[in-house]
Amino acid sequence: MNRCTECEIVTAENTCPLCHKLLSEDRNTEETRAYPVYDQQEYKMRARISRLAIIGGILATLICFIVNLIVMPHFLWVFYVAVAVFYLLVSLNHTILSASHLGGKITAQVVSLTILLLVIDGMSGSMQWSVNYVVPFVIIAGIMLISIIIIKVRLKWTGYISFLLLMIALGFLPLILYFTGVADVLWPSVSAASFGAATFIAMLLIANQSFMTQLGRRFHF
Amino acid sequence: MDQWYKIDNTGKIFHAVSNASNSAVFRVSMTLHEMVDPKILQEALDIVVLRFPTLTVRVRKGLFWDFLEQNDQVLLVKEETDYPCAPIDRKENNAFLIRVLYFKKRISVEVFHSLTDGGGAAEFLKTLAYEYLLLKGEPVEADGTYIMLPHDAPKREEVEDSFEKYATSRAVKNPASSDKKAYQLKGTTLNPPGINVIQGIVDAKALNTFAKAEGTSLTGFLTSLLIKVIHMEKHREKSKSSLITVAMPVSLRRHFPSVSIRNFFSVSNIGVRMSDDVPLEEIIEQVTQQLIAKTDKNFLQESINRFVAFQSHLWLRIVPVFIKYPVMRFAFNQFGERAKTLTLSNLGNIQLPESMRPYADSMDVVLYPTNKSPINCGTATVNDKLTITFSRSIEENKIIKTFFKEITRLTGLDVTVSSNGWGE
Repeated sequence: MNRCTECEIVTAENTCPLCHKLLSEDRNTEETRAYPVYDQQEYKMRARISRLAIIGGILATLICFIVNLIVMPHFLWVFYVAVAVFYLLVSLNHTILSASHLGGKITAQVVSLTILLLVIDGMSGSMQWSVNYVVPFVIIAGIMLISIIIIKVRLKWTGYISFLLLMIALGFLPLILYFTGVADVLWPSVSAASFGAATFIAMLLIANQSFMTQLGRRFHF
Repeated sequence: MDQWYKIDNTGKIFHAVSNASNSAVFRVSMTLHEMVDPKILQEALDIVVLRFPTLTVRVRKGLFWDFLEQNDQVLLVKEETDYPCAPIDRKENNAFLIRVLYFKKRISVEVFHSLTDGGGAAEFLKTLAYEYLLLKGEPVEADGTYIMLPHDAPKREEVEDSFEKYATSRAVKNPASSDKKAYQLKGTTLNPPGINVIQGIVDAKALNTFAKAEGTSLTGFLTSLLIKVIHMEKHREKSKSSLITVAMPVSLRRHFPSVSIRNFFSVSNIGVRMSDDVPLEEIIEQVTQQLIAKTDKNFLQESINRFVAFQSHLWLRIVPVFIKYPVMRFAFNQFGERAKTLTLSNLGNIQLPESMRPYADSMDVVLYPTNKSPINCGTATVNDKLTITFSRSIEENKIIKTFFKEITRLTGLDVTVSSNGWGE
């Protein structure tokens, strides 16, 4: 045991754990170590990538904003950049780097892609191609993807139920957009809602008891 | 897959407020006298997991509340490589919210706080260590001391939500706590972000005798000394706020006959308004009085009722989680955390069967720091060895240094200190 006269403690380590003063040079550090040696560089790198991506995205948007104001102040194309940066950040930090559930990653992709498309459409003169066609089909693709995963993972299917229910609920969004006048083509909206409803019914028929049990748990309050 | 549990009353809060800087993961460890054999530890764990069904679960998403579902995967023991109380990566951990680690002679159990409290985790660890020693061929037996035997079937009352059971009223008018804003510790976040742990081991019997001579308990003495030390360091910073409050989790099992291994604790805030001329004796007196008053059964009963009343509110129940959780997180950070300077959790003198005691060297508890409470302290005693563990997420360690120095200065006892060196 070594004694640190500065901190008035004893320690098995060869430096004081409190003031880091060298107390002894001839001890086997590995033997006296109370905790493992950490690869702190790896942690620093991981934190840095995420932080750099956010700072880089904000910086790129700001630079584009200034350039936009100088070069073309009457048309704010910077919003294209901003929404694309937002989508890339979600993709990098959530879809690629995070340990989130695959169902959550698909849902986040559908939601962020929907926002991206709505902004691009709105910025380019509100032709309504996003709300009329692309958004309903992105949602259908999301429902289909989660359904395929549920069929493939079989025993672990319950983990995807919340995300599937969320996507099914989203399936009715295009129909709401149609009836509120935001969209003006009916069939893609009806397709998305019908696909959602059909998936829900299919789940009820195929996994009746377990699906009902899961619904009871997911909606308990 | 059939078994599922609602998250208990306290657990819901931890579930809502946890994030990267507030892992809500705490650790309870037992250090043995010999190196841990990971193979035997895994065998012991395979048996023990069946005894603790509420700890071997995964979290599932719900619309109004998330819930816990039985996890049929295998919970694997792992060699410790990360800093204590790191967020649990559910993917790497087969979706369990608990992990069992070993490092040299130490067995550690790290648990997400939604599952259980320190008392529940300590019971799990005791049973795991008991089974481990049995499988190693050591002559251990449960000689009347309470231990949850690994081969017994789980009882219904062990998995109950005791808050619901012991609440006597759900109609508390003011569910919010009236504790005043306390001085808060600040500092530079560790680089890389993580948790630095500093542990001091001291003779529990001698320190307890000293505390008794000062007219208080061991917990009362440690709390008073912490308040004194924080004031000393705060004074150097010339900070204005002078109410120093130590938040103390109190196990409700001591006052209510619960054997549940789910969360069943309340938090008592012990605060002293400090100025330069408040001597340690006066702090001890105030702390002791508050400890007596705030661990009284009636006080704790009110706290149970307040918890249950708050979560019984219809508006809270019918709001979807994606709205409720951010609101709860904001309220926790702005109001719940502002009433404390730091947390001191004392697991107390952990009772082991007589035949197990020769195999256990020490036990410790590591709390996770939070943004508003970047230094926390956990203590546990076994075999007359008191382990005081400070965990911090900031670089500044003056309070910890002065605390150990003051123990030595006041009591003359040796404090044996070790650290994980994170961020240094």
